[in-house]
Amino acid sequence: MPELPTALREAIERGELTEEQLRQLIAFEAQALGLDFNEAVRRAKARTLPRNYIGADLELLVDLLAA
Amino acid sequence: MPITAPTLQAAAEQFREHLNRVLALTVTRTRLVLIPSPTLPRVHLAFRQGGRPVEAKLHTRFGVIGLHLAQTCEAESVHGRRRQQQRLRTVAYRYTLSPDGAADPLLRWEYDKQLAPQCRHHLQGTVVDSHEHSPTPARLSHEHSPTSG
Repeated sequence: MPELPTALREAIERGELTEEQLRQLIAFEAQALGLDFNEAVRRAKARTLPRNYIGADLELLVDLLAA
Repeated sequence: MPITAPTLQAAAEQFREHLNRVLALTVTRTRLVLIPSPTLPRVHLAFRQGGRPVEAKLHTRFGVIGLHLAQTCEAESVHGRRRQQQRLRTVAYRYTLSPDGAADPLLRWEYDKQLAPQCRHHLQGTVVDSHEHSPTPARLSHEHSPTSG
């Protein structure tokens, strides 16, 4: 998985992400699985992401998005 | 023991600190990081380094094993002695154990409050059935094979 941008990394460390930054984090984790943001969200909701630890993390991150 | 605090964020911080202490004393110093939802009363906890999800490396007698922990919590309002408090509740978790270097975990524990009241245990991997009538390898990752009651 590629290194995250500094601003995003710092927001995660502070525990204060904006909706845009949450989407950015989801997009990074999706990219690590070879998926784009929309496909990752669709598969997270269908519980069909890859069964590895990034997929597991991503599945729960998507649940943080506004419905 | 239930965790309560004036806010969800404060209750989640208590939980994170408690878990980090227990994990550091038992299996790993890899730290759990808290990500609150920007819009929902919900928080996410997971092992992270540099913002990225990571596996904690456990040195066991079976070799190096990767542990990942991700958990989502919400809060319910309860009456405290003087004011309303938020009691933390787990709504979902995903724990995985992976042999070092393996693409997929060997074991997964999953819980979704909405889907089922109990944890799902999974043994993962590809199993080749030697029976001549079923030569196709079975992908346990796609099954929900219970490994305990």
